[in-house]
Amino acid sequence: MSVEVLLEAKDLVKTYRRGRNEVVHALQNVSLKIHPAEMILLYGPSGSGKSTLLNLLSGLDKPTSGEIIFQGKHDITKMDESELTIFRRNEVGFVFQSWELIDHLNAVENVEVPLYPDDIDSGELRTRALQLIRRMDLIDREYHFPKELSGGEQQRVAVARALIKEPKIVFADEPTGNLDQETGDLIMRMLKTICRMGTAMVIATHNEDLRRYADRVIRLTDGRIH
Amino acid sequence: MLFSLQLIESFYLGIVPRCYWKMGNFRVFIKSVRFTYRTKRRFIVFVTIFALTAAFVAFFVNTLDGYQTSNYLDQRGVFLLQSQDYNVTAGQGQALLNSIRNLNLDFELDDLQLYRYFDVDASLRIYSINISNPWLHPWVNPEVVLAGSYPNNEFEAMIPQGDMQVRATPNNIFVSSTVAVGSQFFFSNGSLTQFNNTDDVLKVSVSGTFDATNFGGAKRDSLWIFVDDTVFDKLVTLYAKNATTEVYTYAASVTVKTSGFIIPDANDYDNVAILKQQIETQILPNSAQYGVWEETAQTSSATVKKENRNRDVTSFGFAILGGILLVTLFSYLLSRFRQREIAILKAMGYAKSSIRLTLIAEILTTAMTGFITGMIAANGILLYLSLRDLNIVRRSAFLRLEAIGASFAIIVLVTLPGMVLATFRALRVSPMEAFRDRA
Ligand SMILES: Nc1ncnc2c1ncn2[C@@H]1O[C@H](COP(=O)(O)OP(=O)(O)O)[C@@H](O)[C@H]1O
Ligand SMILES: [Mg+2]
Repeated sequence: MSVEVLLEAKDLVKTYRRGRNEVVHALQNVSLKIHPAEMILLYGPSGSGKSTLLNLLSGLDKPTSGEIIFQGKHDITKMDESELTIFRRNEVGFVFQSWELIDHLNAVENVEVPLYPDDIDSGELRTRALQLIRRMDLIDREYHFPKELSGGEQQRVAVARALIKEPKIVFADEPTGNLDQETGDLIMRMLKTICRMGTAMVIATHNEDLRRYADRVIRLTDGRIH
Repeated sequence: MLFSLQLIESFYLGIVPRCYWKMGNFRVFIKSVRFTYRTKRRFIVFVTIFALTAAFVAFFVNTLDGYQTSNYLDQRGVFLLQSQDYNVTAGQGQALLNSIRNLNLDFELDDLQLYRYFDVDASLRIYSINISNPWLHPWVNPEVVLAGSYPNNEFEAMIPQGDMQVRATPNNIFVSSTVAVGSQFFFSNGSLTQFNNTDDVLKVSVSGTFDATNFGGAKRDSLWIFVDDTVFDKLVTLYAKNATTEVYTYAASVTVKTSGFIIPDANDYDNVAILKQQIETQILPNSAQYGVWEETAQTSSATVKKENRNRDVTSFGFAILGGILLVTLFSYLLSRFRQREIAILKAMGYAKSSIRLTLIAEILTTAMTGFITGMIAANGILLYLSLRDLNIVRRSAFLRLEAIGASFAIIVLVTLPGMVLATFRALRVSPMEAFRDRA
């Protein structure tokens, strides 16, 4: 494992206000380092702050206090919205619990979507998307629509979509949460393979079984790391 | 479609300039247009809304004015007619038309026509009409012609049947017994197209007694057949009449070309008054020869002005009201339906300009498809009504250009603020919504 740090969180605090005087401490002084090509499992019970932490690390949300340094230089908590958009566009991929494919786009198109606004030739884009889909073992499913695919197949399309930009880091929030055990294992093995090829993974889950795939497990309880 | 694209592009150019002219954003736009057609239920619902609005506006502008002012507006022009039958020769009639043509008027005359007839015998009279301009003579007005029976070409004639007139081809001129008991008329050579050859024998024979009491409620002692000018001229020679001395001018009709968005307006009515005055000062000295001229329009200038204003206010009100409803509904629903999708796109790093483009593409596609569908629907209704009831839709079963234009303008007007509202709402969507757990 390389000693260089891809993403470093320092003393992250996130508090939500609920109603007038109730305050939820979703994250309290969380610090962690993510290295390139590392598979990190963010493990903790429901409500422990996993999703909140992913939102902060991926620049979807801002912490109440603390810093998140990308590649030792850029503090993403200080970026404005358009800088964050560029950060997400170039460096980050997402996999969601309920896949979040776009219903009226077929599998290849769903994979292509992140790159539509880029100046890349359409034919080249299609070739890349097809290659990725086939790497996910989705042969003969390229032109199927999400509702014609099983949950596991949809999640594999979603993984392909997260990878099309070749991001340095992929965030996955309960990627196996809606899948049966067997399919969940398949997805995890695929994520592991991708990780081995150089993409860092941060996977949030409350499923203890997944711990065996991780290079490192970070336990989160009530917004704290132990 | 292209026109509105440019309009919208230049509209947005002011807000988000350069970033649109990337190849990638062009692809986002094109793909979004294509994907819009795939969002089946949403697409159909919104297209229907737009189509109904477009059709309503078009139909409103096209047709409803006819209901409001009887007769006068229907004609889309204004008549002047001689008040009495006055017999002159064709030469005298032409002289009259020429003197009208030479009047120094500020406005254009739409049409100037001379009606002629000659009596074949005591029981049969043949009139000249211009079948391509049926509105210029009250007796051959499609209003009194059985639906669908108006002549299609100059080789068809019209004959009375009951209190209506029907189209007759040379082979089937047969007058029903309610009009002429036991009477039959036929062109013995079978086809009027052979009029080209004057050697062909052409006979119009009448047998029995013609009872015209059923026709137009007026007692007439001969059967009138209306044929096109060109055929009339041939019949004249065929029956060895002298076109200049023996053929009688019956009446001349002058139509003033009308103007304005919805025609005609009070101004046109005033033009007719001017025309009448001019004709009278110049022709009155010869009135013994030509007769006295009077208007057939029954609506006063003041009424027309008032009705026009009311109509304009109502239609404008309807359009604005419908537009506001549409904008609110459409932009609200669209930004709600697409909330999840927009959150995903944002999480994936789509720039605001790209997200806005996807929305513009969807709204444009929907609006334009709706517009085209609406025009087809409105025309379908028009066509149906014109076949069913000639009194409602006059002259044409097709939408007037003004109606289509008005509809397009309103769709564009409605679409612009709708787009701003929808994109504004959509851009406030947080990308975190894509993460939110769903059961
Ligand atoms: N937008 C929010 N407003 C208020 N409280 C929130 C919000 N999002 C999360 N929380 C609270 O923060 C805590 C952590 O939530 P979350 O990060 O979703 O946990 P996990 O993903 O581990 O289940 C929970 O108590 C949750 O109720
Ligand atoms: Mg969660």
